[in-house]
Amino acid sequence: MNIRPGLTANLAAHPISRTVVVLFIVLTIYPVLFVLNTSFKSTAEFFVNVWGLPKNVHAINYPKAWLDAHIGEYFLNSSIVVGISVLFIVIFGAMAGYALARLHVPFASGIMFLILSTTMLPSESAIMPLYIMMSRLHMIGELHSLIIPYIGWGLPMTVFIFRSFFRTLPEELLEAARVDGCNETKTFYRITVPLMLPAIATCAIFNFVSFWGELLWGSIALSTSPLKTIPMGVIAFKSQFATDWGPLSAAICLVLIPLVAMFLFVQKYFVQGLTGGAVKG
Amino acid sequence: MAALSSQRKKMVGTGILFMLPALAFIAFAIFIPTIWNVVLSFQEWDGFLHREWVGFHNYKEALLEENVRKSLFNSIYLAVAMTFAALVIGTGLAGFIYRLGRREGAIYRLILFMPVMLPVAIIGLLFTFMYNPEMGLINQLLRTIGLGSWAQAWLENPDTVLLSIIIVGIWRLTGLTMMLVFAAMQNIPVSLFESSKLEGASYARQFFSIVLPLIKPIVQLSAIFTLVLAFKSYDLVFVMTEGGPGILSRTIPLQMIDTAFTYSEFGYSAAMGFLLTIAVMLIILITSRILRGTSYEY
Repeated sequence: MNIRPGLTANLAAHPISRTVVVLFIVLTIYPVLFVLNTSFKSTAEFFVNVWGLPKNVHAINYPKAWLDAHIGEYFLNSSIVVGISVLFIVIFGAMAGYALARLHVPFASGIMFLILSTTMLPSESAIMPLYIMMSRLHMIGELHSLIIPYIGWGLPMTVFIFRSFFRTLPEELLEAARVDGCNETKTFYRITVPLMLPAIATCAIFNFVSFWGELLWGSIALSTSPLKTIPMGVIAFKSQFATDWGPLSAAICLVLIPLVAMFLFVQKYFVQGLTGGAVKG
Repeated sequence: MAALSSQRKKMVGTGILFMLPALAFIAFAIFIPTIWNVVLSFQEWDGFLHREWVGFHNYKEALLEENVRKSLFNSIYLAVAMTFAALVIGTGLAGFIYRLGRREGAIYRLILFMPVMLPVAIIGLLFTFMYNPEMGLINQLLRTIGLGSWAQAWLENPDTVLLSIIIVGIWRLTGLTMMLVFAAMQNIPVSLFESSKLEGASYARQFFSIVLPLIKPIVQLSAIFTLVLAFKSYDLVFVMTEGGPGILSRTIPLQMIDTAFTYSEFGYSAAMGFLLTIAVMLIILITSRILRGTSYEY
């Protein structure tokens, strides 16, 4: 690749650029650090010491949120819902992406365009008919009433990402496997899937991030049921104990921890996947 | 030849089989509800037995009702304002980060991108902390620096509520543009910078005269991505204001959910949904026209 200007690690260079960027970094990260900080204060301490670090680390907020506010239970619900959704999104997305890129399906570009164009629609305007449809089919009020739509909503972008990846795969590799007697299914699992691990990581994190915090459909589909997902639980906690800032902050941190951990773990793939698909087209 | 075509046929068959599960789920969760939404919008339906075709009546009613007009305006205003600011700031930040060291820049990009992947409902909660009239950071900061008279109930004051929501949207969406534009800048050959530098162009001049024209297609793309995200306003507005004070910050998704699930006017709600869809499509079309640029080979 090319050598960029400003590769130097010299911190004194470009003072204006650095000042502006650091200012925005502070603005970006401060709300998150503030909540993390607050989650270790007792509510009494919070009211006298809003800004500073906690004088006594009040870690009890976490078990309090986890147990008393049932965040633990909701955490498990969300893990089940999002885990199963992401698994099926990745499997079905990879299969469809492979078919559209490699298996000479007629009208492949047209199908891809049709699927992808749905991501532009404001999904919130199809929520109500979906609810009526699913309640007619008695599919409302259980965790699967979230899983099924999540799979459908996650697939368009996932199919697109997988199709882009499969198109960069050298055809000769697949030809060779076929000549050696692999059938399509075997070619797919033995040759293609192992090469596609970065794409799988991208899609998994992308969809995990979209559905871990999803609120609207979750609260409609589970409105008649005691089941809650973690964002629903945190919102309910807030409306119940709005002034209990310590445990509420702890609950928010419990939502954020898996996201941040996962993001840091696979951020390289994630950013590559997003920009790779977007920039190279 | 015959063998080849039968092999190809088998491949197509497998391909269709491979696509079926994905297509079935997409049809169930997106295609069918979207089409049904359009059908419903031409009906009057209470959710049970009473159902009749009413033509464009729901649309007329929606466009005449003050609440719906206000919600539609808010939906568009919030999304367009967030997108515009996020594009300008994100592009600028990418330009600034480009100047900095590679390792340093990578850390900055990671932090700036973080809000894009946080759940919108949680972002809303974070900022209700920031905007809280008594304990909120913003008012505390204003009091500390002696501007206590500026402190106010940001989300309850009709004059500040929309701006407060827009700022949260900018906070959330800027990282996306920054990331895409930065990636595009990586593909600009350094020789372009070097030759213009020899001719005495400053970095600012280079940015406006070389970088911006070259990355215009990416700015267009990220405008579309950002608009799509910004129009999904339910979670953010619901958590921050529930559409209040009064209906001042209400957007179409909130109005729809209310109309359908509180008043059981499903056809009317569907018409609002379709109006929003049309508005989104129009705005996306206009935006991509405005940002349409020539693709240069470099």
